[in-house]
Formats: sequence, C-alpha cells, structure tokens
Amino acid sequence: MVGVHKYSLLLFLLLLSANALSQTDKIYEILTEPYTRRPLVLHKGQLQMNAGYRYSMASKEFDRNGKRLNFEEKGKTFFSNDFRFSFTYGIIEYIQLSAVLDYISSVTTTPDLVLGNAGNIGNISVLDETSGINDLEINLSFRLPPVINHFDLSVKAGLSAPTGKARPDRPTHSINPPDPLDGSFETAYHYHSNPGYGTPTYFLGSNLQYSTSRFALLIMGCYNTGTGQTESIKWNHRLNAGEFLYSEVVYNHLVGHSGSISGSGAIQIFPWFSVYGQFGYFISSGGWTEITGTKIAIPESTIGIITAGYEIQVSTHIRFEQNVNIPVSGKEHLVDLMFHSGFSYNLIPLKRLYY
Amino acid sequence: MKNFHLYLVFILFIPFLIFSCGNYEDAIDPYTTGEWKTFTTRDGIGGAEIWTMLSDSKGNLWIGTLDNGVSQYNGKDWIIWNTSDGLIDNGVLAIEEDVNGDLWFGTFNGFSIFNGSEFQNYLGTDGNTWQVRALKQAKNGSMWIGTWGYGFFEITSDYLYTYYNDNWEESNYINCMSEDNHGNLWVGTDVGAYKVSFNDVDFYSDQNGLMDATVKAVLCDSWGHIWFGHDDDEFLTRFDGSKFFPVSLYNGIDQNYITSFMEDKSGNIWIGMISNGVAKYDGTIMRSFFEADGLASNTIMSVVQDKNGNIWFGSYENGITRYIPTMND
Repeated sequence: MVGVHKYSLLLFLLLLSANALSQTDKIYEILTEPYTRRPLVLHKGQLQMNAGYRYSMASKEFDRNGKRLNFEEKGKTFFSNDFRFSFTYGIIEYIQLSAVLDYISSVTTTPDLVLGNAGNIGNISVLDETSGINDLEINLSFRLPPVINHFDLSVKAGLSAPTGKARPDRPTHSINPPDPLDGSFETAYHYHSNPGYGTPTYFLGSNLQYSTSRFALLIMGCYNTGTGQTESIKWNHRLNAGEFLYSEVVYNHLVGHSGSISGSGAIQIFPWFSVYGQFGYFISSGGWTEITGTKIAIPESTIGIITAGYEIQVSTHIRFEQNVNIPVSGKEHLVDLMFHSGFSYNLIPLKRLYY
Repeated sequence: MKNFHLYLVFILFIPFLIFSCGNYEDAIDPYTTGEWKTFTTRDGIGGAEIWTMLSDSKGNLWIGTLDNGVSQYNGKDWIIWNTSDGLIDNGVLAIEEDVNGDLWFGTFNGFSIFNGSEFQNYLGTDGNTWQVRALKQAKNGSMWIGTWGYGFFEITSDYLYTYYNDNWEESNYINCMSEDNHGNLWVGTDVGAYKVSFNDVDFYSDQNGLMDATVKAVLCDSWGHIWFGHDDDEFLTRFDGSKFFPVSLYNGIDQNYITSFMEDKSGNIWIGMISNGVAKYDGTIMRSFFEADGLASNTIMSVVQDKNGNIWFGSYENGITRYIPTMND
C-alpha cells in the first residue's frame, strides 16, 4: 500500500509540474502572439502600455484642387514632434478599455517680405509654435465572438476629453528697430498655440480582420464628431511706442466631422518579425469659424496616406514598431511625411488566465 | 450566414458615416473669401458721385451720393431715395443711424431723418441753412451734427447745444466726428481737432501733437486710440491717450489725402484716400490696395463693414467694391 501511495504522489507531482509548464507556455504564447494572429482586442486581464514618438515634417501642401504647392517658394517650413502614451486593458476576453494621451510640439514658420518705398522695407516673419498635452482619448472596444473562421470583427466607441489647453497663449511679437518710420525694419510675429479642440468629441469605429498564420488583411473605419459650437480666443496686436500691446478677442467656432477608412496587409515573416503596409483615406469637413467676425466654413480637407512598417518581438513582454507615413493625395492638407517609432509593453497576470 | 450579414452591415456602415461628412450650414464658402466685386450704377446705385456710406443695424448698406440722394442695398435689391421721395437734398454728405433705428442724412442744405417710409427735413437754426458734413450717434443717446461754417451741435431729447468758436472762424468748419471709449467726442476741422468731454472742450493742432492741422477723418478705435487723417501729408496721427504718434502709410508717397477710416471686426484699421487707394493697418504695418487689386478706383471716399463681415469701399465715380475678408486678414 505504501508503494501505491508513493507512486500516486509521484504521478501527482508530475501532472502538477506538467500543468504548470503548460500554463507558462500559454502565457508566453499570448504575450508573443504574432502580429497576424493577434485578436482585435486584448485578452482578459492583459495590460498593454505603449510609448511612441512621431516626427513629422512638411515642405509642401495640397491646395483645394489637390495640387502640391511647394513651401520653399514661400519660405514656409513645418515640423512636429508627437509623443504618444497609451494604456490598454482587457476587461474581459471580448472587451478592452484604452486611454491615449499625446504631447505635441510643432513649429510652423512663414517669412513674408513686405516692400514699401525704397529705403523703407519691412521684413515680417511668422512663427507659430504649438506645444502641450492634447485631448485625452478614452475608448471601449468590443470584439464580436468569432463565428466565421479566420475573421475577426470589433467595434469601438469613445470620446476625446478636452484636457488640451486649446486656447492660444499671449503672443510675443518683436520688432527692430522698435519704432520704425524710415529705413528698414524686421518684425517677428510669434504665436503660441495649444493642442486640443476645447470641446469633447465622440468617435465610433469598426475593424474587420481576415488572418491566417502567415498573413492578415485588415479594414478599419472611424467617424469622429464634435458636440457643438464652442468658444476660443484670438489675439489682436498693436504696436505702440516700440512695444506690442495685445487684446484678447473671443470668437465661436464649430469642430466639424471627420472620418477615415483604411486597409492594410501584414505578413508574418518570422514568428518575431512582421511587416505591414496600409493605405488610409481621411476626410474632415463641416466645421466653421467666426475668427474674422463672420462665419466662414472650414474648407473640406482630405488626405490619402500610404504606410509601411514593421514590428519586432524584442522580448517576451516587449514589442518594437516603426513605420513611415507618406501622403500621396489630398486637398487642403499638409503633405507631411511622418516617421513613427514605438514600444509596447505587455503584462498578463498568471492566475487569471482565461484558458 | 446571418452573422456574416451582421459583419457586412458593420463594414458598410463606416464608409456611410465617413462620406456623410459635409454641410457648411449657413457659413460662408471659404473659397469666396478674398474676392473683390464692384457694383456701379449699372447694378442699381442711384448716383455716380459717391461720398459716404453706412451699414445699418438691419443689414442694409446705404450709399450717399452727391448727385442723386441715397441708395439702399439689402443684399439683393437697390432702392433709390432722393428729393422726389422727400429727401431734403440730393447731395448727401453724411449718414448715421440713431438709437431708434432711423437714418439721418446730412446734405448740402440741411438734414433729413428717415423712418423707413417718410422724411422729416430740417434746414438749420437761426435762419441758417446747414451744410451737414458729419453726424455721430453718441452712446448716451445724443446725436451730434457737424456743419460747414456753423460749428457743431448736440441734439438730445430736450435740448439743442451749440458749439461755435467765436474767436476762430476756421475751426467751425467740421469735417468729421467720432466718439471714444470714454464718451468723449472728437471733431475734426481744417485747423485741428476738438475733444469734447462732459465738462470741457480741448483743442489740438499741429502745434501740440498732430502731424498736420487739417483733420479730414477721425476714428476712435477699440484700443482707445484716436486716429487723425490729414491732407497732403506723409503720415497719419495716432493718439494713445497720452501721446501723439506719427504713423507712416509706408506707400512711398509724400502727399496723402485721407478721406475715411474704418476698424473692422478683426481689429484692422482701413484708411481711404484720394488717388492712393486704401491702406490696411494690421497693428504693425501698412499694406496698400489699389485698383489693380480689385478696387473700383484709387479714390476711396468711404469704407464700412456690414453685418456679414463684408468690407465695402465707396469710390468717388466708379461705384463701390465689396471685399470678403479671409481667415488670414
């Protein structure tokens, strides 16, 4: 009988260790899920933290007819740094909650030479700086239970809370000499804008994915709209005795609607390395502004972007991604080339494994 | 199969939402901003010699001419009002709207008050016939009348106050009037400017600050600064409440004849001139606009902005031009 108990105990220990090992395998598999086999939402209890950096620069813009206008002819420049942080949590197996926050720093410069009479030339430049925290985006994504093999569908809804300052700060213009009447002078208009809409916006989106072990196709769509007109301010200036005076003027504006639709394809070249390409179309319209005292519609803006990128599973918990976004068509939009790099850190609790 | 249909609905729903973007509501088409459009007698303006304009609180544009009374434009139709309708004289030099919404027309021979259907006419006082060149509705309810040679007058509900300088005849020829943020009235003459406050009257000339003694146009802007436009000068004068400053027009021209000022909703100061088009002061610099840019002519007698934000330039003999400001103006 003692021998039977000894073998039972040994068998039990073997089964226990086998079970423990198999659970570790499953955690590893979840954390290192290849790009093409990942479900559209996180697993239950999975926490993902993302940190990314995006650099944009533009030397052209699309005009109302879609023609590219070269900034160099006007001497205009634009560049932007965007730091993005997000947290995503899998509430249950088919629902995840996300929070996204950006810190933006961008600069647009525009020189403008104004000619007076000979000997009295004004040289004016405009520097528009935007820096600060953008609006906080919170969204809930629902993954529909997969009923068709290889297909995955999710919808998301969310809002953008106006955590960005939105309203511009007082400008800091300068002029040299301080009070020019004769001769040449240089004036620099220096504006300080802040990110944000100043009002909540809502969005609704949907993703549909078809995937196999080696590749995946994804269609994504999203619609965003404001909640009504809101107030902002502009700064008027007046040169007086060599110094600029400023007055704040309130005006109304309406954040319009925007939408996007994109399609992408990804290939899992190695279990730890995948590449993807995407084409996206973005449109925004319906807004207006009373910044001049008259209600003027904001021109409709569109942009078509091609994205190419890759993802590397650096370690069990960490993924690294890079991509480049190239505008290929558009109207009333910057032709801004964007480079993105980002890290994703994934945590999943051991004990609340879903299977 | 049923579930597949559900998937299809979601796929199709998103593009529908995206492409339902649009709709400018009642906002101006942004691609019409920055445009210049001229209206002449062929479009319906009653007279060719335009002297003054006013945009009233109801959205009408009133154009005073020297040869055929006033023309009223409501955005669609032109209506002409002249002596045959009861206007006291067809030479209209000044237009103002009072607190009741009635229009006052200053002419070569007296002035008329128009309530929309009838004219009440007044020649002047003491047997004199006033040539009324300036009218100003003050915030306290008084109407100020500037005459050519008889000084200026304040009309309240009860009294008529006379401002006449017995010691300086030339200072009684009134060109223009404007009220500042403190309720003071500034009156321009060919020899300087009066400042009329509640209990005092001051006088300023080229001896104590003005770049030139002739004050053909005056404006009190939203900053509390007073602008003076002169004849035959390179500069304007701006008074900030304590000091006078010369302001260059930066147009390379030594002789500028200022006819009018207007501050638009964006805070820009527009300056109308004889033969030199208009200048726009944005707070730092002046930029000039001429016939080549879209004005009806380079002689601009009056500049006004209507309720819709359009800026109107009245030229002396070539009609009026409408400019729709852009978001960058």
